[in-house]
Amino acid sequence: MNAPKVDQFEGEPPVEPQPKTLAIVQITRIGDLLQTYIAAKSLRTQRPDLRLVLIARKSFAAPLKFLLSEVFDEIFMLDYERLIENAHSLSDIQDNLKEFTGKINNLEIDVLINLSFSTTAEYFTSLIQSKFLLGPVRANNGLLSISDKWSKFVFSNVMRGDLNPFALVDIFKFILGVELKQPEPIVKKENTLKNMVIHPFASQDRKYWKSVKWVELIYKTLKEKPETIISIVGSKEEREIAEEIANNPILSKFRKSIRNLAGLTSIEELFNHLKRADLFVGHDSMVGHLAAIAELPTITISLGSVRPNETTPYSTKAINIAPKTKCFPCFPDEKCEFYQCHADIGHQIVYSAINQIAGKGEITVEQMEKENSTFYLNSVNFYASNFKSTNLFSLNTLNKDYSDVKTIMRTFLRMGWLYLFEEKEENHDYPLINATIYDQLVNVNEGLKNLYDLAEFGKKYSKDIIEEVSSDTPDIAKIKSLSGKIDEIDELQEIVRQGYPLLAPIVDYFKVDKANLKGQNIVHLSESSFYSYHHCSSLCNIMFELIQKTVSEFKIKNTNYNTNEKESQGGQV
Amino acid sequence: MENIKSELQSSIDAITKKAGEGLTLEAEDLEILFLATFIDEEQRERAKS
Repeated sequence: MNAPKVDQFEGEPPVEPQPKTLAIVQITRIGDLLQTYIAAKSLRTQRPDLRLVLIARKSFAAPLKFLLSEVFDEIFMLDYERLIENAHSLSDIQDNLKEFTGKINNLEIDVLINLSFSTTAEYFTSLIQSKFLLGPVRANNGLLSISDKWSKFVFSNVMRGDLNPFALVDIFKFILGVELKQPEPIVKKENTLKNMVIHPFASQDRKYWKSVKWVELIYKTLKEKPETIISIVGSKEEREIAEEIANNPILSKFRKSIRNLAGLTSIEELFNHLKRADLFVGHDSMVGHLAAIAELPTITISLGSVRPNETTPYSTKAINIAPKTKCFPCFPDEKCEFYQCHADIGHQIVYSAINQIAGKGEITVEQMEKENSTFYLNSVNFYASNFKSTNLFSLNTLNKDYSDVKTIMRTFLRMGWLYLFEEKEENHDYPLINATIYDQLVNVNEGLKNLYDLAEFGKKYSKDIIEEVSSDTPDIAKIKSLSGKIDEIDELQEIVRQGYPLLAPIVDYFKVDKANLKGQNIVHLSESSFYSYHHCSSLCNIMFELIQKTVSEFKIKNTNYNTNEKESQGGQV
Repeated sequence: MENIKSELQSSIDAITKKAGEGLTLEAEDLEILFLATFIDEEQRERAKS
């Protein structure tokens, strides 16, 4: 061995350690990009040493460059025109793509995180090289593969039902490994409403009111608050409808107080406009997220397929008004002839929220009750943003009436997932329940018992496989039989899911978990399967205990329990 | 664009056959699958606006 002499290196500059490179793929819509920006900004603050790279669609990332470049060292923009439209053949397109991915691959990425949950993004991520990978990706058999728990959670729970209790930004923070911290509280400027910005649009018809309801809201606001200037914002495509609203004859006497800025501003100009405003009112769209980033109080009217818990603007001053319509929230591709949820939120309710935010800076149900008839109040839920002791975003229900079983399950699932994934404990008040909810919860616990038993069987059979494989003379027939029993358990879990739809989040998550078991041989796969069942039984156990405590408290306080009686309870879970 | 789409479809058919036979997909196959979904998404988005 000819080891180099120490003096050989004299005079050479010391080698600077290279910063670690973390690249994020976010090629879905602009709202997702803004939520990614919020999560990545926390990472940037906590880890200034990292080289942060973003890969996003040009059509969405270019207008946000003024924000994104604060956080990301490099931004690669996937440009449809450059990649596809100017090409003459498929081989040209492939060359263009190779050139694009080649530039990214030259970065020597340490960690690649796909935060966009779409098939396109899964394939794209498979083309990028990195030492570590998080998020969904297509493996070399073309099948989907997800290695981390929070990405499995997104895949199984976000936009699947309506029981996801977490804000998308917080989930992104967990995936990125960010230490959770609350955003700075929004300080209310003055006790007036000089400038209000509205965005009466969203990505789909089902998510936004028809113009007439906005006209009614504007009329009411300007009648009560003649000092207010209302700016209507939106894209070029939305300008025509914005014009319809602004020029509606009902609003003729308020013409000077309404400005139609739709299609006239860049997103950067819109952001600066929001920074000078007092309040934003709109639906679930990217403008709400932009308003939260601009530290503006927001009121969101959630309609159609919107899940308030997932996408309410991430700030300390966010109000969400959602209908109690039975079918709300629906799914984007479900047919709907008549948008009942649109009718269930009256403009009077929204004005009342505006009035209170403009006054005290917060809304209370007492004031809502003073200002509105029960006819309007009974059809809506009010939520206010709040950051819990865990520093996680939460939407608190402001309504005084009994919780519904879904809200209770959402809270318990939140506590369960947090403990299971992060070993975090979050305290919540006991939910207010009545006899109907009592019965529903008791029923859910029956399902949980079944699910727990199945998971325990799953653990046993996984362990039996490991023992059989490790024996001196493994019996292949026995291993096959045990493996068949595990398949049966998975089928039975699916039956539990159908019988107890409120347990769908748990069954769906562990289905994805088991589809992504780690290991290249039967022992490792069985070990991985054992842990998956173990986590399932732990979660069922936590949920069971929470429900059991809730129903026991109800029973104690209602010794003369009667199915027609409505009694409340207090305390902490 | 129609020619490109037809070329893409032939490639996808070949990849589907390959995947069905349990063969490993190459980087080029994943590129094709990405391009197919990307073009489809972009065109749907443009049709909406």
